[in-house]
Amino acid sequence: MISKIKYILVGIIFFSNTYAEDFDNQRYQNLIEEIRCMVCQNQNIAESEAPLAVDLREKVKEMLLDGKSNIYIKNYLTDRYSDFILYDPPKNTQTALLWLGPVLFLVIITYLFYSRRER
Amino acid sequence: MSSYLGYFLIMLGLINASLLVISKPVFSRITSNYDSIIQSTSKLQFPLLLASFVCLILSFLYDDFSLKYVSSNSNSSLPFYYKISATWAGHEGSMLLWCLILSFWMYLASKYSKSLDGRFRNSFLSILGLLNIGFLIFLAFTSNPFERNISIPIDGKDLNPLLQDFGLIIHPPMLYMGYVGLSVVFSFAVACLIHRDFSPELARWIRPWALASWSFLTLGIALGSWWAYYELGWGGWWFWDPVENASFMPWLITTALIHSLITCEQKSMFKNWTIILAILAFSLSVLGTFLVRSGILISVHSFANDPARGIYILLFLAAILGVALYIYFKNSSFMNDNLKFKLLSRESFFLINNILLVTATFTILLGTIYPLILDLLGLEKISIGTPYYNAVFLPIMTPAIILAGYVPLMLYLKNKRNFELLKHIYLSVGIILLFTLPSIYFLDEYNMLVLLGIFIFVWVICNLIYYIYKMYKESKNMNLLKNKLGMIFSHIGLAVFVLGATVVESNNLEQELVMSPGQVVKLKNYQFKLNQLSEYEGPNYTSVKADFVIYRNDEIIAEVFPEKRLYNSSEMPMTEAGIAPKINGDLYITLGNLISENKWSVRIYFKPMVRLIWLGAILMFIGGIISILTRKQLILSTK
Amino acid sequence: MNLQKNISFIVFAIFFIILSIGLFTDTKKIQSPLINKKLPEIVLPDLKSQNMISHNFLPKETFLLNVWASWCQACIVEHEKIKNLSNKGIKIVGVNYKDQREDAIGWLSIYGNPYLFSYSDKEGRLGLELGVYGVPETFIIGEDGIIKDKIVGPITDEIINKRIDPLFRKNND
Repeated sequence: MISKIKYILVGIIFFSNTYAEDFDNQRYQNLIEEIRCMVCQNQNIAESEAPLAVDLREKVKEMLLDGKSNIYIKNYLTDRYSDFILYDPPKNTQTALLWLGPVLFLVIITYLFYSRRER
Repeated sequence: MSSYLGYFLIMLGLINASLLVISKPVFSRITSNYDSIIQSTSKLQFPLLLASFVCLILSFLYDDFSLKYVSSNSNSSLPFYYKISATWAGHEGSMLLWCLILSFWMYLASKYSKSLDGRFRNSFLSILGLLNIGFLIFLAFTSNPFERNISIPIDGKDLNPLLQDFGLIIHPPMLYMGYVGLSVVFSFAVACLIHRDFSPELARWIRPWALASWSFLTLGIALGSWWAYYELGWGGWWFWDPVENASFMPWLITTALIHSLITCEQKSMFKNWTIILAILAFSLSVLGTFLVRSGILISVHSFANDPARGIYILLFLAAILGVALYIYFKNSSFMNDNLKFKLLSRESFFLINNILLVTATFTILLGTIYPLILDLLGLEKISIGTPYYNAVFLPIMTPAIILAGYVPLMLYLKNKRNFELLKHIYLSVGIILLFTLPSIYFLDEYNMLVLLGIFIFVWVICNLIYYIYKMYKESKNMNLLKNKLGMIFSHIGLAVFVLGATVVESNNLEQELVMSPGQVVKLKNYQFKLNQLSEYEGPNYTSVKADFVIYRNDEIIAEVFPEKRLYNSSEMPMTEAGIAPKINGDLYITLGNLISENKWSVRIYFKPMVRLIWLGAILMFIGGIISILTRKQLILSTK
Repeated sequence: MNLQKNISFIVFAIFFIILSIGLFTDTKKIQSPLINKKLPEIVLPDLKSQNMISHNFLPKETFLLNVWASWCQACIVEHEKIKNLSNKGIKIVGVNYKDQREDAIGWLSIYGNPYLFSYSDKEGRLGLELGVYGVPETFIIGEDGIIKDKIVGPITDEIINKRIDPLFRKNND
């Protein structure tokens, strides 16, 4: 009985509309937080008031209203500014160690410790 | 002049620390009283550095612009309290603060180590003395706050407006108390290696020192996050900025350390590992200093960089880490770790905790340095930020936090009869889901992140409450509980933090738009009315101030005054946010840019539960302090 | 234990080597992904006449596309070099970026106008298309309309020797 309820609830969660009132706005905010300001490179374009950041926010807004997907927008930016402009590092051979490193480390260190255990 | 005295005192500090260090090898041949030399010099360092620090403060208060550091960081029109805090605003002054705090910890170490074996104690303090020398050389010869200007300017350049703020006054000192406190742990660990002794008594002795560093690091990091939230103007509280990462890594390692010290104390287990952790913690602390001050990484925190300084710190770090590791590999065989533990034992869980925390630290180190590695290999420059850490760091920490809630209870119950682990887990999870799911009604947006956060919060709190209940029922008095009070506070603090962080990250609302006076804007069921814009002049800036009135269901609930300031000394406009804290979250408004006459771009945020983030950190800090105060008292021998 | 020791040493060494090199290396500028791609079609008015410029007006030979603005300090410094390049016979087209027309025209009359013409990119749209983030920036466009290189920041003699001259010399062979 309990597990049935759990299933139903999980179902509700997954199928419910998870966006707040303004669909575009939440997506917009999430997007601009992932884009690096190329001028003052320590901020994303959500925080930066640099002219370029303002322009980029406008452009992102435009593309969203135009119905473009997140992937399209991100590709648009990296095609012109390189991967550097996204705070989400790319997943390619050069970043393989970056993405796999933590898991590898976890596995190795767990093995090192638990293999020495005396039963 | 106080400035000449200041530098002279630093030199005296160097001499004093040198005396301390050579006491054992040199003076021991001359007199058998070299003990007292070690005691005196290790205590004397503190008043010397304190006096030097006071000299620097006085130079600021008296507008002594003949000093380069003062003229770069102050101005005659700067309010006096900021003149004082300007002392640690820049690289040189903050290094002096670092050395001062190091001398303070050495003073404390000297004063409270009477119960230690004499020879061990001498080594312990001598190593601390060596560290003092290392940093003082760096201070005196590459980062002298008392360096003179070639020509004396009429007025100073002023303190960076971003730093003219209360949060920035206490954030560095608290953070340094944590960072530098780890030097005590490091010195102790190396002394253990040299004397081939790491008994449970020694583990117990050092634990409060590790706890103290941990507590101050927690507080320092939380203050930095709090400052960023209200000062930087867009309501963010953590950016995975390299310097933030630099402070977080020692924190994670120290958290692992305070747990593994328990296994050393109680079961004499994982001693090798604990010593390594102690060495790592301080090393990461120094690495952090290197990353911030060498200019190797771009960061909002970076001090003015100078390769010479970077070289010194790097060499220094290599030296202390290298020597410590060398001694470890040479001597560590004396620690016969008996690694006999069951998979579901306390030791095992502490080990899992350690493994997860160290992996998390590795993750952050990797993310911070990886762009540099790629750049050096001539490969494409990339950025690593929040999306990466969310994907990698959170999944590692989540099980650790879940364990933090459950393990105290589980281990307690394990000794009781009829304890069936699986049944217990199912029941717990079921009950807690029951508490968790109704909270969906209170949220606008419920995604996996916030649900997980709420679950963890309820999970930890419920388990801890049940644990407290069980303990009280059993002992019928609070004594049993007293020893666990610190842990309970800290774990609750952790849960509170997780709740705040997950709710605010998934449910915050933002609006960016252009407003003119008289206009009203709606967000959720709040209305924001821009009443008027006015201008005024502050002590060292001019400001445009907006008067916002906030309504909820047509009733006034708050009035805030976000500002845009232009400081006389800088071209950077500063944002002062208008924040209205409410029970369920913060209403947060900032001014953006002037669009045209009386029209400003404005950002309005609702940040639900955001203050729980810092409340949680404060609870953790309090828990650490309680743990120090309630530890089983050591018998102090009078000497 | 020996294995542990050796691995620790290797990790230690690699770590410090990375940090040391990092200290001494100047972080390189971000490479533009537009290199070896075709210059996008530009639809902007001329700065002076305000008439739309047809794509045919762009030089058919290798030329420089220089992004500048009257509010940009570094552009003043760079301008001498630009004029020198123009005198050497190199064709240069300007892009006046996020500027007021009067300010821009005034700036040219004070500091000189080596440009064949300048586009007026008031909104910065072209800048976005070209991935501009640090004015001044200069693109070297080949006769096939392909972007050969992108220079971020003011042009210096070193840049002229290392990056500009080679691309133009190749042309003349």
